[in-house]
Amino acid sequence: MRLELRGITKRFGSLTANDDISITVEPGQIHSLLGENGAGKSTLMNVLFGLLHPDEGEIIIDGVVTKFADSGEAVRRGIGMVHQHFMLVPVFSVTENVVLGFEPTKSLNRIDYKKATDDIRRVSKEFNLEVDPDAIVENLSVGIQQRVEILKALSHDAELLILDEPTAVLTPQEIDALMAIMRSLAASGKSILFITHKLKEVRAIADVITVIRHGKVVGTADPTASESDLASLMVGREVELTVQKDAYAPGESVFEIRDLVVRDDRGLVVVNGVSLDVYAGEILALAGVQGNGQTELVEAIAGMRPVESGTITMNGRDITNESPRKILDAGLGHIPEDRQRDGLVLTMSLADNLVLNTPRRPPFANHGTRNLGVVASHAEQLVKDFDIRATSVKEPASSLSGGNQQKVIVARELSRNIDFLVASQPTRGLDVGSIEYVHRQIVNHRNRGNGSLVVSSELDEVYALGDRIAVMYAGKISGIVDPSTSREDIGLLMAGTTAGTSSE
Amino acid sequence: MNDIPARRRSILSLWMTLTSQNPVIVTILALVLGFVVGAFIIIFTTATILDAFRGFFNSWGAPGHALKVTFDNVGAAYRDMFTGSVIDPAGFWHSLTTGKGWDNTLTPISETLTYATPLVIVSIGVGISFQTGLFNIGANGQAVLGGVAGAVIGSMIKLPMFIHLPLTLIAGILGGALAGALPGVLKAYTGAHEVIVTIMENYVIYAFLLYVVLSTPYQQPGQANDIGRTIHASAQLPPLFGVASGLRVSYGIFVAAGVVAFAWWFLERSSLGFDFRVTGASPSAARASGISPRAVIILVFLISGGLAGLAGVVQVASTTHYVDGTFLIGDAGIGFTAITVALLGRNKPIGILWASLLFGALGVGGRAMQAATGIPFDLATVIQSVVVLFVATPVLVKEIFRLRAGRTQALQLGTQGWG
Amino acid sequence: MGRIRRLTTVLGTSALILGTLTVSVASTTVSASAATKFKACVVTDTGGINDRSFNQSAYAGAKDAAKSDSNIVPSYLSSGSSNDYTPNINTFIGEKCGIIITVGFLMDPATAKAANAHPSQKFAIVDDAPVVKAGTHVEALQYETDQAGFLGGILAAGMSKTGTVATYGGENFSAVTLYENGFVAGVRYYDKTYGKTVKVLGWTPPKTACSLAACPGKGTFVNSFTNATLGKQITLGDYSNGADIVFPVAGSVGLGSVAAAKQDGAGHYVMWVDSNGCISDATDCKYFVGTVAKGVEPSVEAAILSAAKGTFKAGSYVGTLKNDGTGLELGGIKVPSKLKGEIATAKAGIIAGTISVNPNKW
Repeated sequence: MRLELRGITKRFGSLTANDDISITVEPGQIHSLLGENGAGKSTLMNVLFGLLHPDEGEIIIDGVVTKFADSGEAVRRGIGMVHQHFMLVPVFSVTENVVLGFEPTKSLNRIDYKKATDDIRRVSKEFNLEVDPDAIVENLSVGIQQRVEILKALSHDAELLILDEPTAVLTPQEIDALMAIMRSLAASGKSILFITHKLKEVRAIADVITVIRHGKVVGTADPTASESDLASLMVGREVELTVQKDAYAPGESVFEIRDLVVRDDRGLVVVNGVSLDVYAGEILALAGVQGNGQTELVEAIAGMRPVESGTITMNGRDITNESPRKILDAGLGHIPEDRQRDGLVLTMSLADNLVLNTPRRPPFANHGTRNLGVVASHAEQLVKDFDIRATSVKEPASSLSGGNQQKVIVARELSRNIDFLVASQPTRGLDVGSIEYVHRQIVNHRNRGNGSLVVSSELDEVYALGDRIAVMYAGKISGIVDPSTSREDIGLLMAGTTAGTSSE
Repeated sequence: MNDIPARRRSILSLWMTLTSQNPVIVTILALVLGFVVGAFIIIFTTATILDAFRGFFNSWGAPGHALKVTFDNVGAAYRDMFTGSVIDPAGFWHSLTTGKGWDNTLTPISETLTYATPLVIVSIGVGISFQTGLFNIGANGQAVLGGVAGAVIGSMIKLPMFIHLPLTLIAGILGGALAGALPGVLKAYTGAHEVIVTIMENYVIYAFLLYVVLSTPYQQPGQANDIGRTIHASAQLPPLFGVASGLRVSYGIFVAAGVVAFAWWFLERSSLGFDFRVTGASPSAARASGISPRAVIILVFLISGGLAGLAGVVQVASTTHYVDGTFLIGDAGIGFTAITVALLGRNKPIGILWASLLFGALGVGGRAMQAATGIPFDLATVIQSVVVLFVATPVLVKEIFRLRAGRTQALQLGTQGWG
Repeated sequence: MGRIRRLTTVLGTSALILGTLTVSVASTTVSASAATKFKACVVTDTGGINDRSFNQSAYAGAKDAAKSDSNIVPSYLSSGSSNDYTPNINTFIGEKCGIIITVGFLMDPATAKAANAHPSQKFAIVDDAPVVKAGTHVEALQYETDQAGFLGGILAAGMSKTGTVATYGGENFSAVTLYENGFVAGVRYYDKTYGKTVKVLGWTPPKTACSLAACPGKGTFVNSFTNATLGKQITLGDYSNGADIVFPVAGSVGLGSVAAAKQDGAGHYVMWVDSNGCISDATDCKYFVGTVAKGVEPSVEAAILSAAKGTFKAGSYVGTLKNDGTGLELGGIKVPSKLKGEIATAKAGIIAGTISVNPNKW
């Protein structure tokens, strides 16, 4: 399929989300759409998929101007979409999910499962998408679930596939597998629109790169373009992708975890005998695929989840099973994984959020009465120091962009005179500019001689920050390695295999 | 299509567009709508109006006559509601020019304040619990227990007023706080849902009330009925203008004013109130920032229950002077009305103050309206309900008055996102 | 444009209404008719105006008065709780009512207080005799309902197939328990006189004789005059304990007993109270063996008419079988003429003073 978007403009009130965007995708081409969060990528895809109607411009498929009334029509015209968040029914089988909404039927409206299963086997063979048609979706790994989504699109005879941030949830190995699938799809003549903000992947797979910023196409690039060139095109200024660190000079151990065991909400042991040391002046990066116990480990450190056994010591003080307030007061800085749930109160003002965990500490309060003047001036100062983009310190945190929300949390924690920082997925979902900023703040904290534990499932981040890299798999530390270790070896550790051996 | 109608918009609508972000405007518009709906109910339930409309097309004068009958009846109803709850302009003028009859002139506003006094106290307690994300549905039971505790202390012992009255009020607060502590502790330590516990607790407390008013120490001597002893004068909140005036508004309004001031400070200025609000807005963020959910839950219920108990004892000390088996039961359940009042006042002390006065005026005015015109009191309830309905769905009000419709649309689509 | 038109309509309507309101408020003329009319104002108890019982009867009395004298305008206010008594009475005083009828002994303190504060205001109170200062104008309307309850006891005992009847009350005070006491006396009289062994559940009479002011025995009580659900539960319990006729003395709670009779079906009946069930609740007539009536309606009407005519006398009125201020009304199921005769004999005996309604005598 040859797809052409010509002069697409979409406005929401006074905001122009897409401004005169023109893109052409040739048959068999992998076309990357690169842009920061809020650049207008998703709006454009929703327009293309018939979920939104453009105010101006037209969609041309194989030379014919086309209008989609809804997404069903887009599907019938050969456009398939794999959303960032999967649209699968977890308790249904692969077959049932694939045919959902387009069920082949026998007489009396019975679903023809045999035909459906055969179709799936045929399609998966054709494109090397190995999936068991009878497996229940919730038992499948995230990478396989994504395959089911792709399969679903292909079984509806999609000629153009839209992949919206498809790698955000995958391990490095799964990303490699996905790229192989994309290549084979392209080789068979399918067109692919690949939406992402990750530079490495774009360079690895795209035939053509279109960069959009603030709803406008700001340029196109070849995959040979350097990461920093792409980044500056995307952000609109020079970006430092890897923050410069001072020489690694570890001091004595400031943070120790010994034989830690923690259970999750369902009562399962998800942190199973973890031991770690973090030294002054270093960042220990904890890598691992999401869901291997990192979340619970951090919650246990911050006092938000009971420790079953083992100890956590900070600066020689045992903080195991202390209350969050005591732990915070003892000098722990905590950048929580889910910033909107745990890090901020979205309905409250910026100023209040900046004193969220110190509201009763002088000078912010005296004898139980808050000193709102000091709170406000403190907020003004931090907004300036940490470059938080907000119109006023009185506006609610919900009105800030994701990057600025994270800056609020970073500003709050790092301005709090802390000894040790735990940051969980500190740049998840942030754009390149904000990532750079947050990284610099964490590195500055390290350069001042403090210890930090940074939990991340992004290998780029792990490499950018870690002085040492620990990898967590199935509740245990599967290895602690030097940052010179290859991506492949760390990827193997993340999959639970010890470096050097291969199971497949 | 976009430009021309925009220019034709009336000045009124333009003004509303400018101010529609203000929730007070929405509330006032909801009030207007409440009275409009009430007017239609009067029209459709009053025989004389319907009769007048039946002949609408019969003669040239008929339509005018029908409209006149409508306006006469609706106008009379709302006039009686106003003069019965705020002030009768004629009486006011009479008093102003002759200096006589002030007691009668001030009776409506005094009644409204009397009704609103305990209501504002209990509603603020409920509002504080709502702001913390906890649903204290047991305020009525807590108020009953507070009233009972106060009535027992006020009637069974005798002390000089400067000790007795504060002691009575404190007994009420403690009674309410005790009733609040139970669901609070259960929620904090076992996770028992506070809505279920407080609803059930209400029934237990009603049964306890009957036990107390039918049992020897407190039951009115010589009475087989479920009436308790009258509290001593030293435990009463005296009428503001003396007993002789007949005006029932009491020194309780100063208690209510104090509660409003305290609640404002507590929620807007105090560190603990900040913890409460953080917990209400985001329990997970509260926990992550070191706020103990357990402590907050228990404290909220102690404060919320304490205020409910204070409301109960203020009612006893200022108007009824005794509790009986129907104390705060049924329609008089101010603890339930408080839920609506808190909602209308957006859980903010000042908002709740206005909402309580509005409910007081509608309640007292509705009574006067029924007595004078025969239109049932329930119309006041309908107006209250409609106002709350519209306040709870501001989108509806904005739609009806076309407030910033374009903006709302953009926001709704925006949430679907161009991520 | 549609929206704008709608806006204009809504705003226009509200402006007109508010405009009218403003104009009306500004005008100070009192409508001429109100000044010359005599207002008969009823403050009901918590049962409300449709309780099929004494509140409803009191207002019916006011309406009857209005029928016989067109100058009388009836009006009422319902009390949600005891907290409403005083404001309701005060509102009517403000409305310059010719007479204010308060319904029920629970209104005793509020009525007494208002009467003392406004001695010239005429009051009548149903089922109570408040202590008031001299010079006040309060007529106490009370009824010796144990006399009619006695006849009801005979009727129930005579009609019972199972040999067990039951009663329960709204709350444990004399205006309620007097009925029950008479009812028990009637059953005992019937057993003794005609050699039967009918039992009564739900009321144990006191050792001392009852009077209008006090009748402190023990029994089953709903502790409400509005909770019909509880009335139904109690009645179902009585039925399952073998009773086939239940006598609820609890105002609208009795509707729960009717629901129980419907649910348990044939052979289960209710003895209604206060005002004839076959009139006030006609659709359920077939469930009623009869009604132990209290003459609230005629006595309220009489009080209002006397006040309107200027012949009102403060003091006490006591309804008896003799003056038809209380009585047994049949209706619903068919009563054998033999039983009717036995009831008539007892009635004559009570009026003559030869038959005591004190259950301890039987």
